[in-house]
Amino acid sequence: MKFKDLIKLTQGKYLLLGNEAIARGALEGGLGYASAYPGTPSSDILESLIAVRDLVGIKASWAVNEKVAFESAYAAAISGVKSLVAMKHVGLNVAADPFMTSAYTGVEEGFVIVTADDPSMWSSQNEQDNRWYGVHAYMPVFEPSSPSEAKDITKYALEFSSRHKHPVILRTTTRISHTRGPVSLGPIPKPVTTGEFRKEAKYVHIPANARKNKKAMLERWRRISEEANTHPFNRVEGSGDVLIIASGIAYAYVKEAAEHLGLSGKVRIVKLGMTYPIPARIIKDEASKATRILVVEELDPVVEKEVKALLQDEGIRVKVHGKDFVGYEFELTLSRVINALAKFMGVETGGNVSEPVKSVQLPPRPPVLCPGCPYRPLFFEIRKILNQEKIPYIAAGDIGCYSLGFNPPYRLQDIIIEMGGSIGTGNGFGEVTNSLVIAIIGDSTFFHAGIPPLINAVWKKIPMIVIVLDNEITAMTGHQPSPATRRSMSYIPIENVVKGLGISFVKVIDPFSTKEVRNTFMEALKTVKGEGGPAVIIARRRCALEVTREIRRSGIEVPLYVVDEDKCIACRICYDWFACPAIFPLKDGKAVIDPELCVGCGACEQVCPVKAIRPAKPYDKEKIESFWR
Amino acid sequence: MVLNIVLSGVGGQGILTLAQLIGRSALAHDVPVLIAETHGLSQRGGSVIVHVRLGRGVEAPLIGEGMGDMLVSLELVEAARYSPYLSKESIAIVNDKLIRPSVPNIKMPERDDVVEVLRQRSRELFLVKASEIANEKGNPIGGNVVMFGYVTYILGRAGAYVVEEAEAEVSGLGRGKIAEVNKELFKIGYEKASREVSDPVISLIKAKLE
Repeated sequence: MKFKDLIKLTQGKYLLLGNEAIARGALEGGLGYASAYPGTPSSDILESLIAVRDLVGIKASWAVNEKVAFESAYAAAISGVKSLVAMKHVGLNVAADPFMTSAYTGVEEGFVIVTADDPSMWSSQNEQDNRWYGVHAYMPVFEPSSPSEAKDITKYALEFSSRHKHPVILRTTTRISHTRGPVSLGPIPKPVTTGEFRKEAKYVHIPANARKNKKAMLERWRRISEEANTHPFNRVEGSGDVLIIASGIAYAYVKEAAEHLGLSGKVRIVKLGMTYPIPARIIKDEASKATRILVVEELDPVVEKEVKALLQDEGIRVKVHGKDFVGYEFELTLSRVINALAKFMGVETGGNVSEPVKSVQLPPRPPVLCPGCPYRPLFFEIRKILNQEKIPYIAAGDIGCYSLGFNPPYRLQDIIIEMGGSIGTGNGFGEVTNSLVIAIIGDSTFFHAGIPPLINAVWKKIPMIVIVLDNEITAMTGHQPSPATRRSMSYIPIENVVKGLGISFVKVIDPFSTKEVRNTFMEALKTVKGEGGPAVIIARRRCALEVTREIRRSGIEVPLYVVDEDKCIACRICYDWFACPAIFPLKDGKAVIDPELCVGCGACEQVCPVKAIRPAKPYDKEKIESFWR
Repeated sequence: MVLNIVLSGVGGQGILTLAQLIGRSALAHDVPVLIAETHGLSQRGGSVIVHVRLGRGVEAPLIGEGMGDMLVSLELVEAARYSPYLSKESIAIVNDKLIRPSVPNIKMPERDDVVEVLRQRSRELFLVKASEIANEKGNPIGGNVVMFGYVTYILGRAGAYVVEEAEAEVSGLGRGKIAEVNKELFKIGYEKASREVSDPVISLIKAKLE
């Protein structure tokens, strides 16, 4: 059953993704308002809420970036509507400005800030540990240990936040957010979605008011720290003089590792569901009975440092270990926790890892642009131009599917740091280097953080070709609408925004036409070198995943393309340079198309120099094309 | 006990769907399950692993290296890549298909060499021409359904769920003609397993669920 189908149910156990569990918990906690900007691994939270918003009667929608999402949800919470904002860990950097001050003002009703961290960087540029944001901002941090607990904690966090009139962080990680597990459902109360903003001086953060707010916040913080000791998701289990403190998901690993090593019940475990502030009284009591302590947590030693500081203050002399056994980087795994615990306890791991046998050299398989991706013909042609013209260039990249253009054969992402960074760093490169700056940015990223740096480039007349890859959707994170989505609330054509900034070179092209790509790029090059300032090319064609799904759903057969073996001259262009994942070489170097992967986009037809690629059978090209445009 | 199933393949082959089919069937039978998925960037045509854990003792989402009881892979290279997850007493069920990564001038291993590695890493290897069958029957992307049929024979007899629960899940897959093809693909996989998988293998898997 889908999340939506469960909405009328008030009991029973169902398989939910951690993110769906968070959405469900928020609804069961009386959520009225939610906002977010998509980002893996957080996106499914708001997606789930949007799927049921009309059925439950809540307000939930995507915002243009995390800062706006945060501000919207915060405004709802200070107007008396229980609210939630969700983002990936780096999204909180974008929202950090309102975030920091929101702790000073506090809120009227529950406000849960979900940060979905990504240890091991499965889909992110860094693995920052956002529990530090809690330390930084005087914000309590809740950390579930399973999808099931994610539901319970979210519900509890909303109530907790309402009671203390203070915003809270719910920190989840990839392995909670994207793990599916059994979750027990409860009733969903009728949500309150409108409120009133009571005008008070505390919301006006001029220095005089801010100073008062700081004192009030510290008073709230004292009460919150006290309550950490009676928080239902912090608990002690087992016995013995060795103490293990496990934070969030680390508890799940510790529990299984202890079972695996035959230590169940022989060690005491403090399970923390609220990891900041730590429950001082519980830790103090347990530590004074312990001979040794091991803190197990993912990424940084946040809890470990807190525990060490507390024991120092209390004069309790017990050696506290943590990162020295568990390690700093990447996500926890069962093997890693078994090894750490075994070493700490001085027992054997009982390893049963199979011995390496006859090995075979395996090829790497990095993620690639999908078959039918509108960016492929564009990257292919620009790579060709740059190779032919031998122009010194910097391809300033950005966050999105096109980040994959870093890989060969395209190699068109020389720097990727953050959202909007393509045009942002393009400003500096344009000023200090002699290279042609090509900034490559997607539609959703353009609206998120690309506009201010583009204004800066116009203002300072920075020479730069800006290519906006407009597939009309936030594709990488699972197809959430962007302001460039023609089928969403209200459509904002990117060219209108760009023209409004006074840029004269603005061209909208079809990236599937390599000829159009070539001509427009050469023209833009001339403009940038001549008049200077930015030239903007908007490459518009819909995401292939969306298109293929829609074609299949409407009951139309997706066309397939085939290679005429007699005509093929084994030139390698289609699979090595155009690099469509659906095209493979045969032993003799001739190409073949895999029907499991081909989506019938037909873009390969034009790159074959001998016209060996054709549709497997005739189809209604106009009809199919209407899905793509 | 816990039954650890490693699912792997190439992003886009329907590995998440396969995981959910297994997970939902198990939960319908009241067997606890955790499925750790791969989303976002790594999903786009890249190497994908999904951890499926079934049984009363499940707490952690990820399977430890050398602790996998079953490997179900939709592609040979990706089966070999994650074979270090397998224990010596494991079984591997692999779609007999190689997909070349979309990387220029890449050298592919020989199919037979990959198969040999999989044989050595597991107690028993079952090769299934799932993609080939699916393509012949008219749903080129239905290889995962053939594999689900195959796995269902084993998990069904091992007591993780019953065939009817799995069939109910399959009936929700696809529309029109494709929905019919999927039912057929499931049956083909199931029947193939019923001919190939021996009782000792079933007992091995069953023991993990007790």
